[in-house]
Formats: sequence, C-alpha cells, structure tokens
Amino acid sequence: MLGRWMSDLEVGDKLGPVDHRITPFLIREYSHAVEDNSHRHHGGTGAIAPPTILHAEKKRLLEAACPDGIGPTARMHLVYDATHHAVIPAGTELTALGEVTDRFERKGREHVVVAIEVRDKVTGQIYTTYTDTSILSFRQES
Amino acid sequence: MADLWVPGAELPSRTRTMTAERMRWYADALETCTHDTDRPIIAPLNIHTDDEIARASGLPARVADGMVSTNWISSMLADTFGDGYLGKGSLRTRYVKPIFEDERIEIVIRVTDRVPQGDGQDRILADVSCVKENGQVATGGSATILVPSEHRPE
Repeated sequence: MLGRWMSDLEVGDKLGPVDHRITPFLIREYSHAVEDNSHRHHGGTGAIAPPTILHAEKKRLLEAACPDGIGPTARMHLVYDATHHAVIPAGTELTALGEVTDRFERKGREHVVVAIEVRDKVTGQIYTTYTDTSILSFRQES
Repeated sequence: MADLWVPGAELPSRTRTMTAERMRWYADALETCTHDTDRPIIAPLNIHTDDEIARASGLPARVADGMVSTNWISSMLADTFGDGYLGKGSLRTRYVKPIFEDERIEIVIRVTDRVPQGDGQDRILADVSCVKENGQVATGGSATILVPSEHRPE
C-alpha cells in the first residue's frame, strides 16, 4: 500500500515516475564517495554516470512513494541486480519507474522486491533495468 | 589486457579497509544524489553511520551500506572492461555478511566463461566477490560484459 511506510508496500504497487537531471555535480559526488576517481566520471559535461548511481533512483522512488520512511524496523539491502543498456551521459534528464514485484518471508524476515527502469525522459532510451531485494524487518540472525 | 578476458583469468585484486569514513561518505553521497541540488547534503544518522542506531536494530555496530562493496566491484569492472561493462554489461551482488568498521576487504573478480553471441560480440561471464580476511564472503555475485569477438586471444 502506497502513501506511508515502506513496510506497507505490496506486490503491484507502482513507484514513480520520478524525474530529474543527472548533473556532473551529482556524478562527481557519488563517484568520489566510492573512490572511483577515473576521468570518465569527473570530466564535467563529457562525464558519464557510474551505473551504480541508480541506487539513488531507488531511494528517490521509495521516498516519493513512502514519505513516512522505512517503518518500525531497519531496512537492509540484500540484492543489487542491474543490467546496463547504455551509458548515462552527464546532464541527461532521467525518468525512473518502479514496481513492487514480490514480497515474501524467509527465516522470519520480510523481504520486498522492487523492479526499476531508468530511461531518458526525452528520447525514451532505456539506460538501466534494476531489481532490488531488501529485508524490511531486519534483525540479526541468532 | 586481452589475457584478462578469458575463462580462468583473475583480475589483479584490490584491497581496502572499511572505515567509518567510507561508510559516511557513501551515506552522504546517496543522500545528496537523492535530491536536485548542487550542494553536498549530510545524511541523517542511520545504521551505516551510527553505532547506537545500528544496535537498536539488532546489529552489534554500524555496518557498511552494501552498495559500497558493490561500487568497489563495479569500478574494477569499469576500469578493466570500459563500455563493455558500463553500457552493455550487468552486475548482480548479494550481501551475504555485513561489513563492519576496520574490516579489511579483498575485491576479487574471476572470468568464468566467454560465450560468442553470433553478432561479432562475446559475452564474458565473471564471478565477483568481496572477501574478509578470515575468508568469509561478505558480498558475492556475478557480472557480464559484452566485448568484440576480435578480442579473443589465440
């Protein structure tokens, strides 16, 4: 169910679309933080985004859909699964769309799976398809 | 470089220590990239940046966001294979064990197969992992890279 907590998400819930411009500044900030100092991410307008920056697209989608946050317990990322269809040039207008495709319990932990597609907002070019699995009700295994 | 593109090849590994600073850098960058801004944003404290909050969630101490190790793997793939990974590849990582402060992590990438696609390109398959000093795999997974077939060594 959309509109409040991430822990309320149900299969079939649609997230987004959320749109924004992936600026050279955002690419540099992300790349510096993960110590990827290659010129490909730091060349100003000629730069490209690291594919992993789509983790921020997931956060944008979840925050827009669930403004009250993660819910009563910590959310823990379990699986990152991304397919790259094209490099993302700095300055591109992106649109991200997500859908909750699965929700299941394993070892007493509630899991949620979100499928995300990131496209060029202007041309429709697909950049990345991404499936993210998170544990909603994290607790350490005893 | 071509000898790294065949089954059985192992890329030269990289080793890094997971520090509280590395955890915080990622948290702040993620927070910044979630906003339409031209200024860095400091993330609110969370299980990746604060021991107390982590303990309240059942963890012994703060843990690194899994995306830090995924990014270390991704950068190595990008440095080695370029656009074949960045624009035509894939990466799947699973967070098997949490990474804590001061743990030393080795990033390991092994090419497992190379499959001709019939269009002048080959799909390289690789196993990827971030391994703790005690041998435990913290992050494990796989990657694919699309390369021109003419890069096939003799």
